[in-house]
Amino acid sequence: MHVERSEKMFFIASAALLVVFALAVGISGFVYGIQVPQPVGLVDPKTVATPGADGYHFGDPVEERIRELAPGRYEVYILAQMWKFSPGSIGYGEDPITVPVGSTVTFYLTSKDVQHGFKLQGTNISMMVLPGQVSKLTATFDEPGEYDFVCHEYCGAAHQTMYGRLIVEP
Amino acid sequence: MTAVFAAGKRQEAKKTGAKWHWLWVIPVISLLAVAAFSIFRPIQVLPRITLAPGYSLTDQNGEALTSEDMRGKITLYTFTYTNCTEPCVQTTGLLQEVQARLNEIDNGDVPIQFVTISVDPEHDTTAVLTEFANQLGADPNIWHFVTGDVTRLKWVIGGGFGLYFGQRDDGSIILDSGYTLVDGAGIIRADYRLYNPDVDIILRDLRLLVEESQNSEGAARYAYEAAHLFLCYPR
Amino acid sequence: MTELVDTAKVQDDQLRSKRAKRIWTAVGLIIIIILGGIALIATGTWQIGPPEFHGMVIQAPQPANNFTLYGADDQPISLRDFRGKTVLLYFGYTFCPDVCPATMVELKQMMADLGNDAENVQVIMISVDPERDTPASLQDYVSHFHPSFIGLTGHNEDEVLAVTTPLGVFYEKHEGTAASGYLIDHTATVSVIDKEGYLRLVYPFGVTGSEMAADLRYIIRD
Repeated sequence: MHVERSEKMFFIASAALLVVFALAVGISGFVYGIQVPQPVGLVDPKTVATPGADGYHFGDPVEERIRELAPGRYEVYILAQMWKFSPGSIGYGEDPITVPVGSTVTFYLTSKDVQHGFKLQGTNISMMVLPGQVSKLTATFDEPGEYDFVCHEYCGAAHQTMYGRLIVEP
Repeated sequence: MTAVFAAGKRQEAKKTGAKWHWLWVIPVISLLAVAAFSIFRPIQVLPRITLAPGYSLTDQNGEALTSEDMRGKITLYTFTYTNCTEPCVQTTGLLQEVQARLNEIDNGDVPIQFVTISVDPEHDTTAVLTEFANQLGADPNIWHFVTGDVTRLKWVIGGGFGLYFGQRDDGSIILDSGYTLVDGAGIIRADYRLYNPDVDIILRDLRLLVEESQNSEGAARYAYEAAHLFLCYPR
Repeated sequence: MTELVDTAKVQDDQLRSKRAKRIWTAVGLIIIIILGGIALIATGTWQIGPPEFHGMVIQAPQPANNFTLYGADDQPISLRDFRGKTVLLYFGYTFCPDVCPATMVELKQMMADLGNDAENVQVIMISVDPERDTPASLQDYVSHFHPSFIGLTGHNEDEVLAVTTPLGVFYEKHEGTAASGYLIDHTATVSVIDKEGYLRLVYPFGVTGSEMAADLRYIIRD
């Protein structure tokens, strides 16, 4: 088969790139020990909203989904569904999530229906929220103020109303 | 080794006058090998989740049991209080089953330990815990029942293991169900947040940890690090 | 191309095959060199990147929990204040008879070995004995080993527990001889937190200062 020389060069270059990137993954993993986050648990999206399902608390009453683990350590179970986060959806009349300043908060999220996103402004929390899978990230809030969170993965007609608020009290 | 193989091939190629086209096989094979490794996962590992908390608590014999005592041992933590019916009875019941089936694991010189932490120090004195241990038929060499003052427990269980416990207004205790697997280096490797996890899965995970700690030296270590890198976690 | 006479086409073909040969030789050599390099790195003959660390490497490093404790003059000091420096946390107490001074001496040796890099490193000793260690006495103690060392202590047990527990450190009071008063059993590890606030390494007791310095030279440049 005849291949144009310049084309061949590109073949080689792209193959070389593949190899280089594969090596980069290897080196970053072995030499620098870089790892990517992984889902923490699996749940059944059909039953996740019932109380106590699978040891998570997405089905508990909204006000009981924010709990103090230890002084200054909180966990929040946020259930995402079309088109709200619960708790925290101020657009739907829910109270914002409130924690004192200096708190470390672990967010557990899962979705009841479709794929959602969770981005908490002003922190490095940004994650995918998938049905059947629990996502978990932790942030520390050292500055008092209002932190909004939004769904940043398009999830249907009222996607733009899917937001909530976390208040860090001084 | 690959280099030697390639050199041999090169001589052969010179003799026959063949072109170098076969060389593309090397990157393709290495990529396929990586893909196969991450798809078929010949080695499975448990993720390294986070550091396990440090603690010093009192066991059923009134002696101190600390996180340092558990170093070099694979430890399965459960949380309970003896004065309870649902669902904490199940956490110890499940551990009984795991204990009975521990002989299925060829753990060699890697000790496996259970630590059950009571969140109700007021009621669960050493005498109560001893009685509780006897009832369950717990092997004192592997299964420890500990407790301590509530402030410390809050930090260890809530802050460290990330498991909520508290008291209702009527004084009854709320406790999440949880099983946590910690490796010999003191890192949390598995967290079962189920009321009734599968014993087979717990035994499988214990076996994975034993294998990893038995293969923690030399070339085998790189294979296990590769398994971590390619997220070869059991499904 | 089809218009060319046969001899020209043959020459052209020969030239092309020669060139192709050269290209493939080059590609082949590069691949062989890379694979050889991987083999050398994997077998440990070649040392690129970080050295084999002397402590337990925290895979998938997570940000260390921030904390606020009290230094000399009782002024509050947070872990976050040291962003940009590599922080070594050690837990001990000034009445500690053996382990703590030994570790502090190693840390002093480490600072000496680091030379100019020492200014990028902050050693903090946190007291697990807030009852007896006042901020002033603790600062006195650590300054004795190195002028840049900082001693921090909590006002109560809660504040200290909040720092020790997540780092896998325990401490427990127990009775000593009448002369020494009570003693405290504690985890004698040194935790290394990098300049971005991530927990990277945990040294068990017994790692020498020179070994720590070798690792830190890599970590502070990371």
